[in-house]
Amino acid sequence: MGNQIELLQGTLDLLILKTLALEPMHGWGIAQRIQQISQDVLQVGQGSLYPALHRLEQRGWIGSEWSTSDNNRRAKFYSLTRAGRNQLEKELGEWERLSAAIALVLQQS
Amino acid sequence: MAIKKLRAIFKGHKQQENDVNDELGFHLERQIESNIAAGMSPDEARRRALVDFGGVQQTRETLREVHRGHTVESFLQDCRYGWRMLRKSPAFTIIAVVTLALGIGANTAIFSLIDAVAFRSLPIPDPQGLIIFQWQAHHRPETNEYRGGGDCRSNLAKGNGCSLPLPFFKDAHAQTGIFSHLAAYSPAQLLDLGGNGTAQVVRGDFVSGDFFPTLGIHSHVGRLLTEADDAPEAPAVAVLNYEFWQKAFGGSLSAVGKAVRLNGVSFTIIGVTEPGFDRLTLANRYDIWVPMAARAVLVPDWSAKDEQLDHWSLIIIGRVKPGVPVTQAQEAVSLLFRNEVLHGAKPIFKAEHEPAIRLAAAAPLFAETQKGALQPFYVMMMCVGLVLLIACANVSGLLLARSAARQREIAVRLALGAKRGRLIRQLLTESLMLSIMGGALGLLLAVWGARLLMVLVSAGSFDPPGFGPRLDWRVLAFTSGVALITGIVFGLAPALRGSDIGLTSSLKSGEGGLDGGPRSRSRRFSLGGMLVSVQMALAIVVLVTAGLLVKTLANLRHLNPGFDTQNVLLFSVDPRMAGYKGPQIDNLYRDLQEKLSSIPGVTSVTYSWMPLLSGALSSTSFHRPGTPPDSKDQVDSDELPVGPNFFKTLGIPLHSGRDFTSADFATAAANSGDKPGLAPTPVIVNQAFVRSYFPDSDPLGARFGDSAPTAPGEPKTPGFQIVGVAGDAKYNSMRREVQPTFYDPSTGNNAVFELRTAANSMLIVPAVRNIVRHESEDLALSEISTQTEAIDRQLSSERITAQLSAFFGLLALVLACLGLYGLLSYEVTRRTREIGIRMAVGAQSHNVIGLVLIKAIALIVSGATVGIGVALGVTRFLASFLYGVKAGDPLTLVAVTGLLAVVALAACYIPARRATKVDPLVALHYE
Repeated sequence: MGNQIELLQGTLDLLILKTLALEPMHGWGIAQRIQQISQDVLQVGQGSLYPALHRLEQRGWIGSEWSTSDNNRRAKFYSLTRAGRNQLEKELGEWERLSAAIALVLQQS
Repeated sequence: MAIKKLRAIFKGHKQQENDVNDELGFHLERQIESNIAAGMSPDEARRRALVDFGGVQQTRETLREVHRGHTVESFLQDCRYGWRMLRKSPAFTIIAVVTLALGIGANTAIFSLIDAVAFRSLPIPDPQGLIIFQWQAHHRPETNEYRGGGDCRSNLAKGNGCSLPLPFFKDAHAQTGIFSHLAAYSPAQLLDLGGNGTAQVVRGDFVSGDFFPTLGIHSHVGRLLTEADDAPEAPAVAVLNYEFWQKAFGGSLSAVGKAVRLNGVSFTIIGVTEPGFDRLTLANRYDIWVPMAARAVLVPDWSAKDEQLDHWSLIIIGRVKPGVPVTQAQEAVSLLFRNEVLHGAKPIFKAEHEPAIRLAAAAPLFAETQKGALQPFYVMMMCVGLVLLIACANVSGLLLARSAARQREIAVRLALGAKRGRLIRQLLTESLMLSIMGGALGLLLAVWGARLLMVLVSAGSFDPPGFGPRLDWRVLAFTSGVALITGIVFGLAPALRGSDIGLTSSLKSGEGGLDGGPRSRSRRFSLGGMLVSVQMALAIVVLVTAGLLVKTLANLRHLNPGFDTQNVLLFSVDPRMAGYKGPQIDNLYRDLQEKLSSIPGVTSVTYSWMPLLSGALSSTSFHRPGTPPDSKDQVDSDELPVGPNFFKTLGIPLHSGRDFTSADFATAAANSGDKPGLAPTPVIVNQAFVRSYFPDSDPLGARFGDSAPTAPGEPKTPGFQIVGVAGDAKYNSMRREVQPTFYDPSTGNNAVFELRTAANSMLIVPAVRNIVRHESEDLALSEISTQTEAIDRQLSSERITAQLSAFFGLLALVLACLGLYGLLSYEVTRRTREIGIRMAVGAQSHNVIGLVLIKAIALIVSGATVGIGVALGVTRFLASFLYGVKAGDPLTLVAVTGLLAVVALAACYIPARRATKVDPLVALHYE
């Protein structure tokens, strides 16, 4: 567990949007998916995950719906809204420019 | 459906917390399952999951924070956005705000009057602590004299009241352990004030020494009465009411210490009460307060009686000592009371009547006496309530038309992921902003309107109304409440409808397209149409109410009262206050009558116990004429003592018999003494009297009202003999039908003079004053007015309700027509393209006008039908206000409906005309 990285403010939002772009998912599923894909580097605790989800929902970027999960229990599923899709594209663009810029600076030295 | 939507918007706090718990719980369970799948034991899995999970409570708190921040932020955002939208269409905003301001302002103005009469607390410190003695029993008290009235209502038949005897007050006052203050006072008494310019009649009040300390009222200048002043041997002193001091003494400091004459007796003014206190109830203003002990010199005939236990006339108020329970105090005084009324020389009650004293809170009982004054205001409140509803429907219609114009904006926001709930909240915020602005402007209108109302209310009355509308917290709370409810009422339907948009159709076609969602189109129009119909219906109810009240006033005004009301001057002179007695009074009146007749312009002079149509009434009962004196068959007749020339002066025709002669007055004077004479008192009866009691015989010379001797050997009282028959004339009020009435020669009574003049009767007032002053310095003229003014004063309540309801009816009509006009204009704009096509394919302008008018007529007819139905139901509650017209008066209904239809159709004309001006080419290029 020593090789985990603290997520930057705002980065979690991007990851959530990206994850939800694939399919609607509940909170636990989102956390699992991010952990798996990052090969356990990024671990998302519920203490930051749920506030982020609720904030995104209030901005209208994701929607939510209660329905039955794969193990037949009631769970709150989040999905990307149209506005959220636009936002994801915008943030992806920004992220790419940011990481490219950081890479440039780091290569220089 | 609407309710479900609403619930979603204002989703409960509880619901939200539950959702959060479920969501977090689900997360935890999934973590445990996953740990088990990784090979942990169930206990270990749960433990690890909880550790990993971290502070659940903290997360909950964070989430709550997120939601709260969001609510505030989105509210501010809604406000900013709403403000921008309202500023973008100033015409709409101004019309909506003014409409609402009229509605809210009218309601606030009327409410502020109701507030002033019904809810304003007593003008004294700590009004809740003031208690009043109310006697209760299962029977009416066997008193020799019971004087009710004043500040507390007595109901002898029901066995309760507030008038109590002086000896009981003295005993209760001695119970120093129970009350911190205890005071008694009598009902207001008219007194003659001399020694301060022209003598005048003032309203005095006899109070015990502790009166002002009990109320907690202090002096403005000088000092107020104390216990020491209320002693038989104390110097005669009086306290002035602040307003009276301002009016009669010009607020001069030298008034204190000045000697004046009350009913001819010298009194020294010792002080003035603080401003703001002049009465405890609306009906009882006091100009001057004198100690109870002064009754011995001012009204000697009462004073002796008042020492007795069977003369009940005092109101007792007080404050219970801190720490003494009211129930305990009540038991103590009840015990005292029972002792006196059961075991006195002449018992007032029997034991089984269970007499007791209740220490009631004074304020509600005082308020009880002015309930009657509120009746007209309640009718007004109904009218303005309806006007507000019309205003709501109006603004609702405007919003609806606007939300249609904003369809695209809303559709775009929905497409961008805005939720419906959020949109509805946004639209509601806008309407609340409108209603709050309307409320603020309405408050200004109300301040001005309430002042106008006060001018109306006090017009032509002798006594200022004693209350002024003020903006206290109740009025402000009322206005804010009304504004908020209004905002929701008119905003909700358009908001729900406005946010309910088929996405694609709205984005593709703008407003006005032929292909734009026919479903939502027809529904929107029906909601708008419904609003117009509702306005029409409400306007009819207000107008019918107004029509009935106006007709009532006209009926009463144009009623022939049976005498000539023009050019008659009335004024009152009460010589008893100046010390005149019995025959002296008659001589004075005869003397005055002669001198007044000599004033140039005066054609005839008379006097009577009370003027006609002043509200005062005296009636008497006797055995039915033609039955033996001890007959149980009792009948009633009104009675009015009159002076010489009464019938000639007032223009009441004498149909048969003769007028009174001076011999008649001598007979009446002889019969009025302790030992009646043997001759019957000559009287003149009216035709109603003859119809009721002498239908078949000649009334002239007939006798009635004699009574059997009270003891053997005593002569029987001679009763009355009819010497003339006069025409029917109204007595006390225009509303009351003429009853059997007899007029008898006035003797030994106070009276009011009636002067018939050739022209404007007010012009001779200075001459009248001069003559009366010459007669005696202490004779006060009061209640100077013309007969027509007296009638107007009596009809003031009818006049106010008629004028106001007419005004509000007009307002309702204008608002309803604006609503109709707005809706039809919108309809024409929306159908521009359709109309263009119709005209392009050959429709004539009258076809197009018909198209628009048919819709309007349908709305008017449906609204009118509902309105008439509601009006028939509502106006039944008005029955007690009406005169000469039935609640469901068909003429009024037809007239009102006709007026409404004409005005409404006129409102349609402009939009209909505009429809015909549509240029087909422009219309087809409309998009």
